[in-house]
Amino acid sequence: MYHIQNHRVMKSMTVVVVGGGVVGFSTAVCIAEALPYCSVTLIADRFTPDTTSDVAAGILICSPFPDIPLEQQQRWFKETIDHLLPIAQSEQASEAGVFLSSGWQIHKELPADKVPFWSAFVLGFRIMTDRELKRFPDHKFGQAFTTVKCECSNYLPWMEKRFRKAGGQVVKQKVNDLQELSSQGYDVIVNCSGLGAKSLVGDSQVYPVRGQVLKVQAPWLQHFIRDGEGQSYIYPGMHSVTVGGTRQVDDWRLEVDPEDSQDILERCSSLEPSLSRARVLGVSVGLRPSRKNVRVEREMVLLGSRQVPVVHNYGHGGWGVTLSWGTALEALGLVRKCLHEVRPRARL
Amino acid sequence: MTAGVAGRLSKERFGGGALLSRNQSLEEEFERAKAAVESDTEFWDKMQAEWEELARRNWLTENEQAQTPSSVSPHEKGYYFHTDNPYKDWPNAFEEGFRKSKEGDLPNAVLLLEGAILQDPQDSEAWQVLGTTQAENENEQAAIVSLQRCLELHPNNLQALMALAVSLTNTGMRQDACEALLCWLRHNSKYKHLLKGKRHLAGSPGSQRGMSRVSTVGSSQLLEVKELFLEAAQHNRDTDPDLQTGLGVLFNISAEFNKAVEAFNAALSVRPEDYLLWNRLGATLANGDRSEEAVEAYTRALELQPGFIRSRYNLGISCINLGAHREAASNFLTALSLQRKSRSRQLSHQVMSGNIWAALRIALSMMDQPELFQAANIGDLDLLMKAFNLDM
Repeated sequence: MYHIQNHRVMKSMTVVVVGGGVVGFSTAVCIAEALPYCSVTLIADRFTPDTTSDVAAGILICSPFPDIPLEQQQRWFKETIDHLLPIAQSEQASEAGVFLSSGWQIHKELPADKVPFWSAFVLGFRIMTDRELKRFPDHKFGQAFTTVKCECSNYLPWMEKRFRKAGGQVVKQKVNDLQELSSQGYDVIVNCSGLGAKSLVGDSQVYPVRGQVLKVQAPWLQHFIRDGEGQSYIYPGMHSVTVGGTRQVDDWRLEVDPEDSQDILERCSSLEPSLSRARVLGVSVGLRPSRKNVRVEREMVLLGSRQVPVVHNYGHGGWGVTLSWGTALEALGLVRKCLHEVRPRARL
Repeated sequence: MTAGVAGRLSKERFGGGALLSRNQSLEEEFERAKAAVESDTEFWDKMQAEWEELARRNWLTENEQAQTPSSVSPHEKGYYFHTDNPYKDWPNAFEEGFRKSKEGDLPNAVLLLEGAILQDPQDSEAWQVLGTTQAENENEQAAIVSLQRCLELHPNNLQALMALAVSLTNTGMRQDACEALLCWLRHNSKYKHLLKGKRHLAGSPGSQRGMSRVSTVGSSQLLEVKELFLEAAQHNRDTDPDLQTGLGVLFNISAEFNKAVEAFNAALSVRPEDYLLWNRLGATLANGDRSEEAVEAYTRALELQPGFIRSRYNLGISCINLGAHREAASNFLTALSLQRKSRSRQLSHQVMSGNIWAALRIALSMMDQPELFQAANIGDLDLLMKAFNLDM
């Protein structure tokens, strides 16, 4: 009756990941797969389909954070797309909800960077031709490319499976403070709590940027359209087309705002007139866990009588899916450093 | 209850002073060495790769295990017997193994006890002593498998349950450790009445196990078991050292090291000559960042049982934490050479513990002597023993 069944490998270190969104699961999978001597537990109070990630369209596009070296952000983007592309091209694609998506990003004014920092990592990036731009008379400039779309309603269950296969354990539980985790004796705590970091670690720099989106039935649409900095967008997906959006800073409302819906439909129909005839399937709201700079770093936190290493990985704003794997690998590196500093434990 | 026991830990009485008085400069030295090592990312990368390779190999052996390699008879699946055991057909192998274990000749006690089991695989007592001996021999995986086998044959063996709880705690398997302690209470005639009316805890082990797999039980079960042990302690007129040991383990699981120290000290007030308890006290102090006091406790354990390899290993770890890398390396080397004294004709590296080698490499890496580190990498114990002026 005492046989060690599921975890036959001796686990000498315990890591707990807080957060069940795309960042939490990516980080947990990275650690569990790379460090087989670690016992990894993911704890969250909400799981798919109730996470912020489930509201995200999941298209790989990004704006830079101001104070993080661009090379690092480039690496995060590249690592994420390099991780997702093979999935999109495998038999797993539909189960994982990962596939290629082509379309246009259009600008009313000439952008400061005609070529975004991630342009080399998407496929076939080019400046739009005048002929292509002709249908967008209000827009002066555009970029065409093929990128990856990663739908979290599929991707998260797929990642959870992968995590469990690597020996990970999943616990549904609200974590109120880090002390709770420390008293359960975890060696390293990984904080992927997104907006939850505000209360979990008292970070006043993290704030919500409210996003409302509609799912519409428009199977004739094959190309995405994103206007400028993403005020309006149309992303064809597996089962529906996501149209959006809003960027309401410090707005905590999770309820649907009918005026927002109306506004979104008007803006998107002006870009894609056929949308005015599309049936609306649903409306959802997510609060982007925003921060001036995403926080991927480690610190030692005094919990009770014990210094516990904590690795933070949160504050991705609207780029959680886009940077998920890259920042997860970064966090993995930080967890490794923590484990190096954890001296071998004395044995009773 | 603890004040008098704490007195026992005064520095004057245990010597250790030569090491401790140098703490100040050692700490500085440690900080310097630590900074140097941390900046050497290449070193850490290599170390990491090595560790991962080790883990990967464990994967492989674990998987191979399913196919029952030739050295494992079908009855003893999971335990790796020495392939070339001179005591295979030894008469009175158990009695002699038991004696050797008490004397502290752990490697040969292991061989004798394995011999006893090969002669009678159903000998639960032999499995029990093999398990506790392997734990003292710093071989936790073997200890766990042996104790589990003992408990299959004799499910209410209290000593085996307690020893298993300790070994599981050491390997980070908190939930299973907690369950073993709950079982210990359930099978203990002195305490089983405490479980009356607590059906979810008193239930059959099978259903207990199923439940614990589900999810959030983790922290709440630990709390409940801890409360039961505390309740039991309150009801006792005299200190029960076994109960206090269980409490000490539970407080280790929840990282309440000061409380665990109190529990082990209470147990020691009844059994002052118990070297296992001294080591448990030491390990608890060390894990609670009280390395200086830990050194004293290990020193006591080793005075009582010089061949106690686990305590020697622990002492080495505390030396690392105190910045005494040379002393740390000496202790690890002593432990390894004791293990090598095994009369098994198997290759000597198979009788030595991987984690002692790993700890030795950490200590050597901080001494900035690459040739020694290299020697540890290739497992050249003779060269290292000579370099540290240790007798073989």
